[in-house]
Amino acid sequence: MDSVLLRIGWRNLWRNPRRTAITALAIAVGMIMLAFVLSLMAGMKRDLINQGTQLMLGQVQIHKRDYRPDRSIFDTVPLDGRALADQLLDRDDIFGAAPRVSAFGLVSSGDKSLGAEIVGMDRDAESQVTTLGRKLEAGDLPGRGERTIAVGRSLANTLGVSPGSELILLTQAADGSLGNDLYTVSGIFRTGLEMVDGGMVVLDLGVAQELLALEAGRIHEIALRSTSPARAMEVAAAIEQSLGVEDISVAPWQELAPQLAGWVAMSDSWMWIMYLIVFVLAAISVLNTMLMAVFERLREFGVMAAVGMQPRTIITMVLAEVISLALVSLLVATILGAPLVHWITNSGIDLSATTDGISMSGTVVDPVIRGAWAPAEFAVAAGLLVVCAALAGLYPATRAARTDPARLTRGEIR
Amino acid sequence: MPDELAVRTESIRKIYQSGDQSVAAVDGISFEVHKGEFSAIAGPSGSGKTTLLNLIGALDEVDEGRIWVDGTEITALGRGERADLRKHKIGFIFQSYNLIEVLSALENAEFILLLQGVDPAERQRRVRAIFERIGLDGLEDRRPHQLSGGQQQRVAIARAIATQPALILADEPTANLDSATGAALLDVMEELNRDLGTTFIFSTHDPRVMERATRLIRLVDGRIVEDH
Repeated sequence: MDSVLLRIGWRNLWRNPRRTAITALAIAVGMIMLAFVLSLMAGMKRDLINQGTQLMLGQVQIHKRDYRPDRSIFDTVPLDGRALADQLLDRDDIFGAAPRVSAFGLVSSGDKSLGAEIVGMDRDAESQVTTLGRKLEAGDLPGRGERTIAVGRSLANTLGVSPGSELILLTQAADGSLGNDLYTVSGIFRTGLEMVDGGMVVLDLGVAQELLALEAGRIHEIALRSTSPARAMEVAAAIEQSLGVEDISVAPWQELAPQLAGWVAMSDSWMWIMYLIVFVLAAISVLNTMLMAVFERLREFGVMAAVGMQPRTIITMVLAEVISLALVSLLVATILGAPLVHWITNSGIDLSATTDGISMSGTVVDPVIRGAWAPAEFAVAAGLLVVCAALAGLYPATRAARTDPARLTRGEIR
Repeated sequence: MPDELAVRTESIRKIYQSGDQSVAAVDGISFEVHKGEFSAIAGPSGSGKTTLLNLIGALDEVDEGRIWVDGTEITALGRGERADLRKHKIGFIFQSYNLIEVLSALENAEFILLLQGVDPAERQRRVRAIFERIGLDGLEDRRPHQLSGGQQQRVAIARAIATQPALILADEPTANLDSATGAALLDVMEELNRDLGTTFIFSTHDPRVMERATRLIRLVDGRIVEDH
């Protein structure tokens, strides 16, 4: 029975091929635009999260519970930090663990001085978590045990230093003394983020611990890379539970960079607004078409009811027609939209002529905006289209089904 | 209701509103139709013929009175039950054929069998036999617009009789047909009535139908004025 209803619905769809084609094309164009925007937004969201988490943040960070936001030099992780980082690498969901120390101090060269964040990191461990090592314009990050320093491009310009130049660091040490030392510039990095390029210097972890009078096991944070940024919350919760240390906090990037998480949430909201706009338009198109299609066939519905078709079966038959229309529209949208999404995914829109990169929420977005395939989002959109079309078709279908067969056969409707 | 009755009505009324005025299209009609009758309801336009047929066929609801069809009181049934009764007990033939445009002649004729859940092979067997009997052989795959008026009305007859209903209601079935085609169709229906014992009730203006009917009921202003 259902297959016959589908067959009738399908044939009815092509009674007026021009009307069906125009409606299907209108819906398909809406779906193509939606697919394009979904792809673009998925790509931007991916880039935003990747750039935001890969540069310095990591997907998850471990600290002493009171460390953030004041970041006191005294609040080190209450376990042997290096050993903990090694231990975390045994987990299946962790691919990189980078222990760090951090302090604020004065950077001087000649008669010029600037305030900056001094970060001590293990170059090899860091390369498994963040991409700072790939942002070098010159030289390299300090290697293990090397008494060298890497500085941001803006900071280097201000201080007038280049690889081989010497810098003096002055900072408060954890034993109450003043830590200070002379370092040779090993590299200059450029991330595009002014707060990093103009306000951060990098030392080797051990060398920084020595400057700050911290023992080898005392670190301020461990940055982690997990299977994907999307799993950060889940991974953070699992690690915190497995550590079971009250004084240790394990935070996902959403907690560490709430502005970034806010942008991501906002892009999700925009996605729903796009859904709403497209589906309201699609529903109006379907409603218009189906009102005409049903009202011009009232006598036929009357006959079907007269010979014993149940009202709910009449509704099912109209819905079969509506759903066929939605599926045809989706097919057209897929055929015409796939090359567009392929282009935006692979080539992208190049804005490099107008900007070097867009900095937002502590991250830098590439000037070439590329989309991403968003099959889950498109599947949701396709499902919603079918549901919206069915809801739009329900109105004329229900009216026809609720009218007495005698009135329908006279071409009247309730 | 006695077993030999196909239809019984008891003081049925159907009132339509026309502006401020109420018009009784059927005004207190009581009558009985025995099984196997070949009856015609005649009367001028607006006399209530089609309304009476619609009420008997459970296509419309009475405002007053009761109706039984093949022993079932249809005026006590709900919407879905009335649809079921129509599906199993009543066949309809309409003046303007009212075939489903997107279905072939064969699919139109087997449509009610499909609604009844009869399996495809049995449906085809029954409908092909009827097509052969009423001269539609070879036209199975044609769509309604590819058939003449007479052929379309034959398909409508095939659809009505395919389920072997207790009662067939035909609303001016020959009105849109030329004399020869109308006469041929009446032959078919007479034959079905005679051979299968199917009860027919026509509404008609057509003197040829009245001549063939074994019983003629005349309506004027929603009331029976003659019944013989």
